[in-house]
Amino acid sequence: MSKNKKVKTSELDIAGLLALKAYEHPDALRAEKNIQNTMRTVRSTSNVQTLFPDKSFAWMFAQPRYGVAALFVLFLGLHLLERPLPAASVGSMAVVKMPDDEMMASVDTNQLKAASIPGISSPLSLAGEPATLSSYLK
Amino acid sequence: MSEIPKTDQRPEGPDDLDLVHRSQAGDTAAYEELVRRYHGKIYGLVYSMTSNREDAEDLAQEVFVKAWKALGHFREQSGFYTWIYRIALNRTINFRKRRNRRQTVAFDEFDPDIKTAESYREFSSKGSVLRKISLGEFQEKMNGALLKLSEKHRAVVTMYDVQGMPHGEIAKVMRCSEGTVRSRLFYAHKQLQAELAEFVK
Repeated sequence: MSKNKKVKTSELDIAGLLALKAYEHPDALRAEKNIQNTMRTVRSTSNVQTLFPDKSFAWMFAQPRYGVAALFVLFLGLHLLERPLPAASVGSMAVVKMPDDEMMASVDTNQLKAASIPGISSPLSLAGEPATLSSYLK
Repeated sequence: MSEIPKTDQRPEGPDDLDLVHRSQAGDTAAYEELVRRYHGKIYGLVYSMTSNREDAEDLAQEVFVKAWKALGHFREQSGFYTWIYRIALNRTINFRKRRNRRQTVAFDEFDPDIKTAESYREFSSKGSVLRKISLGEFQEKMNGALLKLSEKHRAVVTMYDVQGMPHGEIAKVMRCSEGTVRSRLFYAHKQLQAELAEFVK
Protein backbone atom coordinates (compact mmCIF):
# COMPACT_ATOMS: atom_id res chain seq x y z
CA MET A 1 0.00 0.00 0.00
CA SER A 2 2.75 2.36 1.05
CA LYS A 3 4.67 1.37 -2.09
CA ASN A 4 1.64 2.25 -4.26
CA LYS A 5 1.28 5.55 -2.48
CA LYS A 6 4.97 6.28 -3.08
CA VAL A 7 4.66 5.55 -6.80
CA LYS A 8 1.57 7.75 -7.07
CA THR A 9 3.29 10.61 -5.25
CA SER A 10 6.26 10.32 -7.59
CA GLU A 11 3.97 10.43 -10.66
CA LEU A 12 2.29 13.49 -9.28
CA ASP A 13 5.69 15.09 -8.87
CA ILE A 14 6.43 14.63 -12.56
CA ALA A 15 3.06 16.06 -13.54
CA GLY A 16 3.58 18.97 -11.18
CA LEU A 17 7.08 19.67 -12.48
CA LEU A 18 5.81 19.54 -16.03
CA ALA A 19 3.09 22.01 -15.11
CA LEU A 20 5.80 24.51 -14.18
CA LYS A 21 6.76 24.59 -17.85
CA ALA A 22 3.57 26.54 -18.46
CA TYR A 23 5.39 29.49 -16.93
CA GLU A 24 8.03 29.49 -19.65
CA HIS A 25 6.86 32.40 -21.80
CA PRO A 26 8.41 34.52 -24.52
CA ASP A 27 8.52 38.12 -23.35
CA ALA A 28 5.51 40.15 -24.41
CA LEU A 29 7.43 42.27 -26.93
CA ARG A 30 8.83 39.25 -28.66
CA ALA A 31 5.41 37.61 -28.87
CA GLU A 32 3.84 40.80 -30.23
CA LYS A 33 6.56 41.10 -32.86
CA ASN A 34 5.93 37.50 -33.88
CA ILE A 35 2.19 38.16 -34.24
CA GLN A 36 2.85 41.26 -36.32
CA ASN A 37 5.27 39.39 -38.60
CA THR A 38 2.67 36.66 -39.00
CA MET A 39 -0.05 39.16 -39.91
CA ARG A 40 2.24 40.96 -42.36
CA THR A 41 2.78 37.66 -44.19
CA VAL A 42 -0.94 36.85 -43.98
CA ARG A 43 -1.92 40.22 -45.50
CA SER A 44 0.44 39.67 -48.42
CA THR A 45 -0.96 36.19 -49.05
CA SER A 46 -4.29 35.53 -50.65
CA ASN A 47 -6.46 32.82 -49.14
CA VAL A 48 -8.87 32.72 -52.06
CA GLN A 49 -9.10 29.17 -53.32
CA THR A 50 -7.48 28.70 -56.69
CA LEU A 51 -8.51 26.22 -59.34
CA PHE A 52 -5.22 24.42 -58.90
CA PRO A 53 -4.28 24.24 -55.21
CA ASP A 54 -0.56 24.67 -54.64
CA LYS A 55 0.14 20.99 -54.08
CA SER A 56 -2.04 19.43 -56.73
CA PHE A 57 0.87 19.01 -59.16
CA ALA A 58 3.52 18.30 -56.57
CA TRP A 59 3.55 14.62 -57.52
CA MET A 60 4.64 15.59 -61.02
CA PHE A 61 7.84 17.06 -59.72
CA ALA A 62 8.31 14.46 -57.02
CA GLN A 63 8.18 11.66 -59.62
CA PRO A 64 9.49 13.20 -62.87
CA ARG A 65 8.97 10.04 -64.93
CA TYR A 66 5.23 10.14 -64.25
CA GLY A 67 5.25 13.82 -65.08
CA VAL A 68 6.98 13.20 -68.40
CA ALA A 69 4.60 10.31 -69.16
CA ALA A 70 1.59 12.52 -68.38
CA LEU A 71 2.93 15.27 -70.63
CA PHE A 72 3.47 12.75 -73.44
CA VAL A 73 -0.12 11.50 -73.15
CA LEU A 74 -1.37 15.08 -73.07
CA PHE A 75 0.52 16.08 -76.22
CA LEU A 76 -0.53 12.90 -78.01
CA GLY A 77 -4.15 13.67 -77.13
CA LEU A 78 -3.84 17.22 -78.40
CA HIS A 79 -2.15 16.01 -81.58
CA LEU A 80 -4.96 13.52 -82.28
CA LEU A 81 -7.59 16.14 -81.60
CA GLU A 82 -6.06 18.39 -84.17
CA ARG A 83 -5.34 15.73 -86.81
CA PRO A 84 -7.41 12.58 -86.28
CA LEU A 85 -6.14 9.37 -87.88
CA PRO A 86 -7.47 8.88 -91.46
CA ALA A 87 -10.32 6.37 -91.72
CA ALA A 88 -8.37 4.40 -94.34
CA SER A 89 -5.59 3.66 -91.87
CA VAL A 90 -8.00 2.03 -89.44
CA GLY A 91 -9.19 -0.57 -92.05
CA SER A 92 -12.11 -2.96 -91.82
CA MET A 93 -12.04 -6.17 -89.92
CA ALA A 94 -12.80 -9.36 -91.77
CA VAL A 95 -13.64 -12.52 -89.91
CA VAL A 96 -12.75 -15.51 -92.01
CA LYS A 97 -13.90 -18.89 -90.82
CA MET A 98 -13.79 -21.26 -93.76
CA PRO A 99 -10.89 -21.80 -96.10
CA ASP A 100 -13.11 -20.98 -99.09
CA ASP A 101 -14.23 -17.81 -97.46
CA GLU A 102 -10.68 -17.06 -96.59
CA MET A 103 -9.77 -17.33 -100.22
CA MET A 104 -12.65 -15.06 -101.17
CA ALA A 105 -11.82 -12.64 -98.45
CA SER A 106 -8.24 -12.46 -99.51
CA VAL A 107 -9.38 -11.88 -103.04
CA ASP A 108 -11.69 -9.14 -101.83
CA THR A 109 -9.33 -7.43 -99.54
CA ASN A 110 -6.01 -8.04 -101.20
CA GLN A 111 -7.00 -7.21 -104.72
CA LEU A 112 -5.19 -4.20 -105.81
CA LYS A 113 -7.09 -1.75 -107.82
CA ALA A 114 -5.01 -0.68 -110.72
CA ALA A 115 -4.46 2.96 -110.58
CA SER A 116 -6.03 4.62 -113.53
CA ILE A 117 -3.41 6.48 -115.42
CA PRO A 118 -4.74 9.71 -116.76
CA GLY A 119 -4.62 9.98 -120.52
CA ILE A 120 -2.00 12.16 -121.99
CA SER A 121 -3.70 15.08 -123.43
CA SER A 122 -1.71 17.01 -125.92
CA PRO A 123 -1.01 20.47 -124.80
CA LEU A 124 -2.33 23.27 -126.89
CA SER A 125 -4.12 20.93 -129.30
CA LEU A 126 -6.46 22.68 -131.63
CA ALA A 127 -9.68 21.24 -133.00
CA GLY A 128 -8.87 17.72 -131.95
CA GLU A 129 -5.67 17.59 -133.93
CA PRO A 130 -2.70 16.12 -132.13
CA ALA A 131 -0.32 18.78 -131.17
CA THR A 132 2.90 18.71 -132.99
CA LEU A 133 5.97 20.66 -132.39
CA SER A 134 5.37 22.69 -135.47
CA SER A 135 1.80 23.54 -134.44
CA TYR A 136 3.10 24.48 -131.06
CA LEU A 137 5.68 26.76 -132.53
CA LYS A 138 3.19 28.45 -134.83
CA MET B 1 -2.35 23.81 -9.81
CA SER B 2 -5.44 25.90 -10.27
CA GLU B 3 -3.29 28.84 -11.41
CA ILE B 4 -2.44 27.19 -14.72
CA PRO B 5 -4.74 28.41 -17.46
CA LYS B 6 -6.83 25.65 -18.91
CA THR B 7 -7.48 25.41 -22.60
CA ASP B 8 -11.18 24.60 -22.32
CA GLN B 9 -12.00 28.13 -21.16
CA ARG B 10 -14.14 29.90 -23.74
CA PRO B 11 -12.44 32.99 -25.12
CA GLU B 12 -14.19 36.33 -24.93
CA GLY B 13 -15.43 38.10 -28.03
CA PRO B 14 -16.92 36.67 -31.20
CA ASP B 15 -17.24 32.95 -31.69
CA ASP B 16 -14.32 31.15 -33.40
CA LEU B 17 -16.61 29.96 -36.17
CA ASP B 18 -17.85 33.47 -36.84
CA LEU B 19 -14.25 34.68 -37.11
CA VAL B 20 -13.41 31.73 -39.36
CA HIS B 21 -16.30 32.56 -41.73
CA ARG B 22 -15.19 36.18 -41.92
CA SER B 23 -11.57 35.09 -42.49
CA GLN B 24 -12.67 32.74 -45.26
CA ALA B 25 -14.18 35.77 -46.96
CA GLY B 26 -10.76 37.44 -46.81
CA ASP B 27 -11.22 39.52 -43.63
CA THR B 28 -7.67 39.77 -42.24
CA ALA B 29 -8.84 41.66 -39.12
CA ALA B 30 -10.98 38.66 -38.15
CA TYR B 31 -8.05 36.36 -38.76
CA GLU B 32 -5.80 38.58 -36.64
CA GLU B 33 -8.20 38.08 -33.77
CA LEU B 34 -7.90 34.31 -34.19
CA VAL B 35 -4.09 34.62 -34.32
CA ARG B 36 -4.04 36.68 -31.12
CA ARG B 37 -6.44 34.24 -29.47
CA TYR B 38 -4.35 31.15 -30.18
CA HIS B 39 -0.82 32.41 -30.66
CA GLY B 40 0.20 31.74 -27.05
CA LYS B 41 -1.08 28.18 -27.13
CA ILE B 42 0.38 27.31 -30.53
CA TYR B 43 3.68 28.90 -29.60
CA GLY B 44 3.64 26.99 -26.31
CA LEU B 45 3.06 23.67 -28.06
CA VAL B 46 5.76 24.27 -30.65
CA TYR B 47 8.20 25.61 -28.06
CA SER B 48 7.75 22.57 -25.82
CA MET B 49 8.25 20.32 -28.83
CA THR B 50 11.45 22.02 -30.00
CA SER B 51 12.89 23.66 -26.84
CA ASN B 52 14.12 26.46 -29.07
CA ARG B 53 12.44 29.86 -29.04
CA GLU B 54 13.65 30.97 -32.50
CA ASP B 55 12.40 27.74 -34.08
CA ALA B 56 9.16 28.10 -32.14
CA GLU B 57 8.62 31.62 -33.45
CA ASP B 58 9.30 30.57 -37.05
CA LEU B 59 7.05 27.55 -36.73
CA ALA B 60 4.21 29.47 -35.06
CA GLN B 61 4.31 31.97 -37.90
CA GLU B 62 4.40 29.18 -40.48
CA VAL B 63 1.42 27.47 -38.84
CA PHE B 64 -0.79 30.57 -38.90
CA VAL B 65 0.14 31.40 -42.49
CA LYS B 66 -0.50 27.81 -43.55
CA ALA B 67 -3.86 27.85 -41.74
CA TRP B 68 -4.78 31.12 -43.47
CA LYS B 69 -4.05 29.61 -46.87
CA ALA B 70 -5.94 26.43 -46.02
CA LEU B 71 -8.99 28.06 -44.43
CA GLY B 72 -11.01 27.25 -47.54
CA HIS B 73 -10.53 23.56 -46.77
CA PHE B 74 -11.69 23.90 -43.15
CA ARG B 75 -14.87 21.79 -43.09
CA GLU B 76 -15.99 22.54 -39.52
CA GLN B 77 -15.91 18.84 -38.64
CA SER B 78 -13.80 19.88 -35.66
CA GLY B 79 -13.26 23.19 -33.90
CA PHE B 80 -10.84 25.72 -35.33
CA TYR B 81 -8.74 25.21 -32.23
CA THR B 82 -8.38 21.44 -32.85
CA TRP B 83 -7.75 22.02 -36.55
CA ILE B 84 -4.94 24.53 -36.04
CA TYR B 85 -3.41 22.40 -33.30
CA ARG B 86 -3.26 19.53 -35.76
CA ILE B 87 -1.52 21.73 -38.32
CA ALA B 88 0.96 22.89 -35.66
CA LEU B 89 1.71 19.37 -34.53
CA ASN B 90 2.25 18.01 -38.04
CA ARG B 91 4.41 20.98 -39.03
CA THR B 92 6.54 20.59 -35.92
CA ILE B 93 7.03 16.86 -36.43
CA ASN B 94 8.00 17.47 -40.08
CA PHE B 95 10.33 20.26 -39.03
CA ARG B 96 12.08 17.93 -36.58
CA LYS B 97 12.41 15.27 -39.27
CA ARG B 98 13.88 17.80 -41.70
CA ARG B 99 16.35 18.87 -39.07
CA ASN B 100 17.19 15.20 -38.64
CA ARG B 101 16.71 15.63 -34.90
CA ARG B 102 19.70 17.96 -34.73
CA GLN B 103 18.97 20.00 -31.70
CA THR B 104 20.04 23.38 -30.45
CA VAL B 105 18.25 24.68 -27.41
CA ALA B 106 17.32 28.27 -26.60
CA PHE B 107 14.92 28.58 -23.72
CA ASP B 108 12.37 31.21 -22.85
CA GLU B 109 12.57 32.91 -19.49
CA PHE B 110 10.28 31.77 -16.70
CA ASP B 111 7.44 34.13 -15.95
CA PRO B 112 8.23 35.90 -12.61
CA ASP B 113 4.72 34.89 -11.50
CA ILE B 114 6.04 31.36 -11.07
CA LYS B 115 7.30 32.34 -7.61
CA THR B 116 3.73 32.88 -6.50
CA ALA B 117 2.47 29.60 -7.95
CA GLU B 118 1.39 27.04 -5.41
CA SER B 119 3.19 24.21 -7.19
CA TYR B 120 6.44 26.17 -7.28
CA ARG B 121 6.22 26.88 -3.55
CA GLU B 122 5.59 23.19 -2.99
CA PHE B 123 8.63 22.14 -5.03
CA SER B 124 10.90 24.77 -3.47
CA SER B 125 9.98 23.90 0.10
CA LYS B 126 12.56 22.32 2.33
CA GLY B 127 13.89 19.02 1.01
CA SER B 128 12.08 19.34 -2.32
CA VAL B 129 13.47 19.34 -5.83
CA LEU B 130 13.76 23.05 -6.49
CA ARG B 131 15.40 23.64 -3.13
CA LYS B 132 18.47 21.79 -4.39
CA ILE B 133 18.86 23.28 -7.84
CA SER B 134 18.17 26.58 -9.52
CA LEU B 135 15.23 27.22 -11.81
CA GLY B 136 17.65 27.44 -14.74
CA GLU B 137 19.11 24.00 -13.99
CA PHE B 138 15.62 22.59 -13.58
CA GLN B 139 14.64 24.02 -16.96
CA GLU B 140 17.66 22.51 -18.64
CA LYS B 141 17.13 19.06 -17.13
CA MET B 142 13.40 19.00 -17.72
CA ASN B 143 13.65 20.14 -21.35
CA GLY B 144 16.54 17.74 -21.93
CA ALA B 145 14.43 14.86 -20.60
CA LEU B 146 11.48 15.93 -22.75
CA LEU B 147 13.62 15.98 -25.87
CA LYS B 148 14.52 12.35 -25.28
CA LEU B 149 10.86 11.35 -25.65
CA SER B 150 9.48 10.41 -29.05
CA GLU B 151 7.60 13.18 -30.88
CA LYS B 152 4.20 11.63 -30.15
CA HIS B 153 4.94 11.10 -26.46
CA ARG B 154 6.29 14.64 -26.12
CA ALA B 155 3.23 16.04 -27.86
CA VAL B 156 0.88 14.23 -25.46
CA VAL B 157 2.84 15.36 -22.40
CA THR B 158 2.93 18.95 -23.64
CA MET B 159 -0.77 19.11 -24.40
CA TYR B 160 -1.89 17.34 -21.23
CA ASP B 161 0.58 18.32 -18.51
CA VAL B 162 1.81 21.69 -19.74
CA GLN B 163 -1.25 23.05 -21.52
CA GLY B 164 -3.96 21.28 -19.56
CA MET B 165 -5.89 19.89 -22.51
CA PRO B 166 -8.35 17.06 -21.79
CA HIS B 167 -7.65 13.57 -23.13
CA GLY B 168 -10.55 13.74 -25.57
CA GLU B 169 -9.29 16.93 -27.18
CA ILE B 170 -5.76 15.51 -27.50
CA ALA B 171 -7.22 12.39 -29.12
CA LYS B 172 -9.01 14.57 -31.70
CA VAL B 173 -5.84 16.53 -32.47
CA MET B 174 -3.74 13.39 -32.83
CA ARG B 175 -6.49 11.40 -34.57
CA CYS B 176 -6.21 8.49 -32.17
CA SER B 177 -8.31 7.00 -29.36
CA GLU B 178 -8.39 8.36 -25.83
CA GLY B 179 -6.94 5.04 -24.72
CA THR B 180 -3.91 5.64 -26.91
CA VAL B 181 -3.50 9.11 -25.42
CA ARG B 182 -3.64 7.71 -21.88
CA SER B 183 -1.21 4.95 -22.75
CA ARG B 184 1.26 7.40 -24.33
CA LEU B 185 0.95 9.63 -21.29
CA PHE B 186 1.64 6.72 -18.97
CA TYR B 187 4.78 5.65 -20.85
CA ALA B 188 5.99 9.24 -21.22
CA HIS B 189 5.69 9.80 -17.47
CA LYS B 190 7.46 6.54 -16.84
CA GLN B 191 10.31 7.52 -19.13
CA LEU B 192 10.53 10.98 -17.56
CA GLN B 193 10.66 9.37 -14.14
CA ALA B 194 13.63 7.33 -15.29
CA GLU B 195 15.34 10.32 -16.92
CA LEU B 196 14.86 12.56 -13.91
CA ALA B 197 15.38 9.90 -11.24
CA GLU B 198 18.71 11.28 -10.13
CA PHE B 199 17.41 14.82 -10.16
CA VAL B 200 14.26 13.96 -8.21
CA LYS B 201 16.19 12.16 -5.42
